[in-house]
Amino acid sequence: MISTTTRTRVLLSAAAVLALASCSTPADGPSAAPPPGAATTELATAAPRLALTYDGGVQVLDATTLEVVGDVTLGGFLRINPAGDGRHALLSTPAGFQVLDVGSWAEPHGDHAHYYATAPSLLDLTYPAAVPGHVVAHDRRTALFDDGTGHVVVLDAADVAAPDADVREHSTASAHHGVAVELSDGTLVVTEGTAEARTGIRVLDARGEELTASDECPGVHGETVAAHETVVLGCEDGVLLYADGTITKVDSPDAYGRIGNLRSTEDSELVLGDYDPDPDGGPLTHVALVDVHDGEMALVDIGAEYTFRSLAVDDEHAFVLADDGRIHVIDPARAQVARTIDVLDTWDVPADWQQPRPALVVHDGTGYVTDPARQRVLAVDLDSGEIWNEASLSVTPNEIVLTSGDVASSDGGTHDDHDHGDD
Amino acid sequence: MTTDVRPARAGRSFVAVLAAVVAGTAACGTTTPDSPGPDVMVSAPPLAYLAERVAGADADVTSLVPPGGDPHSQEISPATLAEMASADLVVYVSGLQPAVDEAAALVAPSHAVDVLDAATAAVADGGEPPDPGRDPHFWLDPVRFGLAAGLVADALAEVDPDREARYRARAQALVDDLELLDEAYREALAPCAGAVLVTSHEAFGYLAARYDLEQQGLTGVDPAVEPSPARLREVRDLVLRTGVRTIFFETAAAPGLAHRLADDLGVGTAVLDPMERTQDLDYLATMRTNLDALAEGLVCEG
Repeated sequence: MISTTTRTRVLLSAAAVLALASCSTPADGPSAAPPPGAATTELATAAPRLALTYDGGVQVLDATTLEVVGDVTLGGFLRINPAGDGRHALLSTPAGFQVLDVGSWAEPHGDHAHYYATAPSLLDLTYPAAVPGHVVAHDRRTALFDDGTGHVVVLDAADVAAPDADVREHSTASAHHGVAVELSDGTLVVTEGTAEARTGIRVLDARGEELTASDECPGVHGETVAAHETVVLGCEDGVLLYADGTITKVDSPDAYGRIGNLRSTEDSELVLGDYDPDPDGGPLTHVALVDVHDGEMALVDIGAEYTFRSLAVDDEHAFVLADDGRIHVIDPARAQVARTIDVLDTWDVPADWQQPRPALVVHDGTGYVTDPARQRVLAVDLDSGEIWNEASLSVTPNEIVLTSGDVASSDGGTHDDHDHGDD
Repeated sequence: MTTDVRPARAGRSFVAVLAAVVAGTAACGTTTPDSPGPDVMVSAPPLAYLAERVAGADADVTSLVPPGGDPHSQEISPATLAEMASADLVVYVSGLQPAVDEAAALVAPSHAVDVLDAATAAVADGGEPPDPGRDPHFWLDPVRFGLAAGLVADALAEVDPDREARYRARAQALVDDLELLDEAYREALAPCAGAVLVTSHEAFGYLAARYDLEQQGLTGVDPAVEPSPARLREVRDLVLRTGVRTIFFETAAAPGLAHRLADDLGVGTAVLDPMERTQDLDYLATMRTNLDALAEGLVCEG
């Protein structure tokens, strides 16, 4: 089958051929090859990359060698989210969501793919937003939420770098710090609320008609999609689950028990959330495990403090990077810490949520840990606990995302919900 | 024999554009009046070797893919498209390069030969060949490559009937060489029947089918990079499951990776060249080198 992209290229070429159809020697004709500048190389396999924000820009590292492959300068406090296509990330800037080409990707070819890499670059392409907020990538669709207007834009993850991508738009009734996710059948799950009070969710079908709604989620914040396309949203007293047309509430064990940041994979019924029983925002020392199959919640005592950048999961385990310098590996079946991995010195949780603190992302059996205090990034084998690679950085890392450099799958993969602890 | 692969969706306007280009180019009179031999364009290194062997000095063979270029993501530059439009013959294998397929479909069908027919033809002792849409590397089967030689000789004879005998003689000489090569493979690999061939690039389906090997792909390992412990565990699982003693990469494994595999898993590494991007390819020599690597690296009897 011939891809649309290829057709476009050939047609573009045809126009160019016309331009030089006079007697010139064809050998020196303009090349139809895209991005100017950096060379593209083919790789033997997918090359996942890490993008690390720092005060002044973004540094990109090869996730295997941990070598710096590029640096993009950009001022201001930067938030970064994977765009969902395995290649790009979205940077929150004063103008909106700006597209960063992290620079490694795959092109499907029959039942396998071919892999490429180039230098990372900041594209001259921004999805406008007054206050760029959450980015949720699910099933090759990416939803961008503008907290300043309550406006939602959803597009194909594969088109995120295309200047004229088709987008689905939705406006919530009132601007709020919200989140949206589109499911494979076009269902849109979107938060509802105002700047003062966020109250619940609405579920809309592909045409925008309301399927169901709930206002039983005070302070709704944070989203993830677990197995069977079960959407989970955090509330100040539990979580909402949405699956197959039905919303279910799972209560926290405490009357006030805020869950605001969630992690899951799309192949697992395990969901990891932060947990805060203190309405004034106490130190986080317990995490919540939600079983979306049984609709049950259990708490796990970490015995140390952690932050919203501490949480990660794979299909079988939950991981919490705590201020004792350890990754706590949680066995979900027993709802307890099964073992710990020493990775860092002890550290203190900073008061300001924008301040750098150690962060954890997990990919393909490896936990990547940033160490702002010593300006390092570590690659930890989560099975053996071995720190199998580490690199010194010239900058202090803050946020970290991983792009797989691989074909974005229709399911599977870690569902990252990049949240924060300010509200 | 030529194959008409022109898809119905090739827009009429675009065909008209191309026709205009062809007319324009022809009017420029860049070819000499007594037109020595046909201009042949080829889409992959093995086809360059093939066309050069069959055409000899009678034709001018040029490659669609620039030296060192990646044949899969090959984009057709306007210059190349113009060259294709004016070439006497385009030799390609459909399914390998989408952009080439698209462009070739716009060249007059009588001037394009899709050697995919050699990949799909029913041949004796060819085993169960792969789906060429997924693995088009049919040239790794010398018998099928010989069929392609015949297709190219047919096509050359059609565009340049005066030299038909010379094309056919050269094609036969190549087929003779390929028969010897096939014999060498059969002889060397006979004790290896049924052996598992672990490759980092599943491009050897045709070779495996002909010589009774079982290809298994090893994904996610770049021979130039030492992989993560998690990835190494996957390699170990594959090695234990298949019992192989060699992992075949497209290019030489970096010393770090080779040592790691040898020390941790007890497997060696070797190079098996699918010849997709080899410059100035000597097909026969590369096939012999591949054979040596296979005979040495596979688990065989005796």
